[in-house]
Amino acid sequence: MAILGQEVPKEFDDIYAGITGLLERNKENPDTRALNAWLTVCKGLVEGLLQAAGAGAPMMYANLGNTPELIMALGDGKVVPLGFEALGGLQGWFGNNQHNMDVIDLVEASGLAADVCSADKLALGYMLKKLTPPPVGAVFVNTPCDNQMVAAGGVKALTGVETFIVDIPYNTGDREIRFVAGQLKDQIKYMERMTGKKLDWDRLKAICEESNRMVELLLEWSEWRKKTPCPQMSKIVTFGFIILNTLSGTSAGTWLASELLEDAKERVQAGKKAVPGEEKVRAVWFHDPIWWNLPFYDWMEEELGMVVPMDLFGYLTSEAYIDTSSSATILYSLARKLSRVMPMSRQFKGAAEVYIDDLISVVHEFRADCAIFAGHLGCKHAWGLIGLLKEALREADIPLLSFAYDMFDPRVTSEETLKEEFRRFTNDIMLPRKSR
Amino acid sequence: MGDLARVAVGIDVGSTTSKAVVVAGGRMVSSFIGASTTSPTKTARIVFQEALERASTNGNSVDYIVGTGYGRAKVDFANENISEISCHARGAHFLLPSVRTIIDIGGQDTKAISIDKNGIVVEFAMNDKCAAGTGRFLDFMARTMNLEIKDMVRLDSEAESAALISSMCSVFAESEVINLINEEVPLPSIIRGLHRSVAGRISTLARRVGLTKEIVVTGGVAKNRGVIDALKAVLRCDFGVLPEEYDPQIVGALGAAVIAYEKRER
Repeated sequence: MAILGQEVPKEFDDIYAGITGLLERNKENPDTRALNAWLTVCKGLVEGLLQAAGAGAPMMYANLGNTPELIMALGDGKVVPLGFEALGGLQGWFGNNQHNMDVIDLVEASGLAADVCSADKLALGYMLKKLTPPPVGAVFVNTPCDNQMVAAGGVKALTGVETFIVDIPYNTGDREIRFVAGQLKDQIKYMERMTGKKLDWDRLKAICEESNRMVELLLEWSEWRKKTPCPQMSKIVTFGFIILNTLSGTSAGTWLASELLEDAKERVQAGKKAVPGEEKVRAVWFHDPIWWNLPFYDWMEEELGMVVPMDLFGYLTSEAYIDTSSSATILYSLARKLSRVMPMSRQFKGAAEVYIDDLISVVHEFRADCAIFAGHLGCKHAWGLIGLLKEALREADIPLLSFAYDMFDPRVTSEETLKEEFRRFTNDIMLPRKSR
Repeated sequence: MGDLARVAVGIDVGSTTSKAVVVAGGRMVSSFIGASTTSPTKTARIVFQEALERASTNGNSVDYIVGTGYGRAKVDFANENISEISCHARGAHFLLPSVRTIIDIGGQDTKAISIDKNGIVVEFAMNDKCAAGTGRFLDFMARTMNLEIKDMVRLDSEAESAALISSMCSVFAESEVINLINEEVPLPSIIRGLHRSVAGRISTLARRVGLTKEIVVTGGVAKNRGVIDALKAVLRCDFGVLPEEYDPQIVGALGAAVIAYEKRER
């Protein structure tokens, strides 16, 4: 298949066909406005990537804990920030999972440890297959986990390109944020050296203001998802993380945020809800999503009457705003965003209280009945919390569903096993509890 | 038995054994435990009929049937099927209203269930993927040593110490046991070590749901004194006592029957 007149490998074909197929099937469906907006943006991302790669545009990798503002502000704005893990994500959501499984097998056979996060296995695997356009540079943050550092090493080994790593401390007070802001100055120097383009501070200010518009819309959207019953499908909230990581500072990101908000408002006013029948259980899914099976969320809503009004990836605080008064405040705000805002980075480093307190707050704010700890195998640091988490949730009288699985690899825990876990939890704990 | 006007039945189809309980007038009137066959439907019918015969009644008097256990979806003549978690909770609470933690040690799985004062499940944890900590592990070890389970219980009581069995995995534990036998470690000592190994595995699961008293142990392995003593030692607590006349293996089926009885009344 050709995309925009370019012959592309099957892996891209399947992603693009998945996105465009879903768009085509749902274009007249009033219930999928939010999903359609996300699909439209993803279609644009794939097309943009292929166009940029075809034109030989310089690409700067950024890992999943990162945000793109600084990269976008380089020179004439032609340096493309490329989410290092993007291909694996797009394949899992919309494409053909078999490609992802093949890539995981390939990269493990090439020597990568099996217990590395599958997001990074896929990122490195697609690089091994030479499907990811090569970078001129790569900027990493060392959160949320050690898997990121393995990935950074992998990029260097596979491309020979020097990587820049921002060290985010465990604590995130003023002193620590200033420490990170200082490193962002060094990151700018690195990027300027690797691309030959100077950072344009006026452009950066405009990008950050666009990012702030997007954040304002997303925060307002969050408020509408607190309504009971939840007006929108569960799975849409899981993309909040990608919006921050990939679309911050872009007009596409702002447009998407406005679509999510307007759709939520419209649906509340029309009395529409996420579940087809009765909303029986509201769950805060405070961990990685099932990204190899988005229809799982539809099954949850249809069979169990369970909805996820908010999850870890969609959770956003007002600390995401960037103070654009000066270059110093911009860097400070970006440093704070990396340390205290980016999902997973915020919660999965430092003290366990950050994760636990966030979870309990979100359960209360979103009027949830329970919490879900989807224990992705690559998140060993998160699994380290489980004992403390269970104690805290018992004390707070919040039921918890926890299980082991893999975010991208369906072979670890099958769909049927996951469904049985959810059925048991709903039927044995949640429904009797709610009817007592 | 008396003239039973109407009854409710609970059927627990397990992987190793299946159980049926008949309830009438709010009390258990009969029960039956039988070996599971390869057909859960056939097994369910067998234990159902046997339990009814023991209650001196027949299928015409049955108002409601609840199926449970791993084979519950195959009890095609049941009015509904309910998970074994809820049924075990219900059954244990029926027998001992003060119970708050149930540890069910079955042939192929182990469950730990935490309930509230009304018998509602608060939390649970299951091991249904690994033989360690289940009856299957003990069966496997018994065969390795050419013993019956009842011999293992007897020999445990003769032990003066417990051999250390470090492997959790049944496959590796078998190698350890063979080595210990070759080193002429006394058999009672090996068996006590095995019971402690099982208890260790179960205690990890039980701690995941918190240990609130009263704690009861149900399932076939609850009849193994050696495992129970080892579990008490590992958990450092005593267990609640179910009424003697109730076999701990039928608790799931009893819970299903009690639920069936309540639904019948509605």
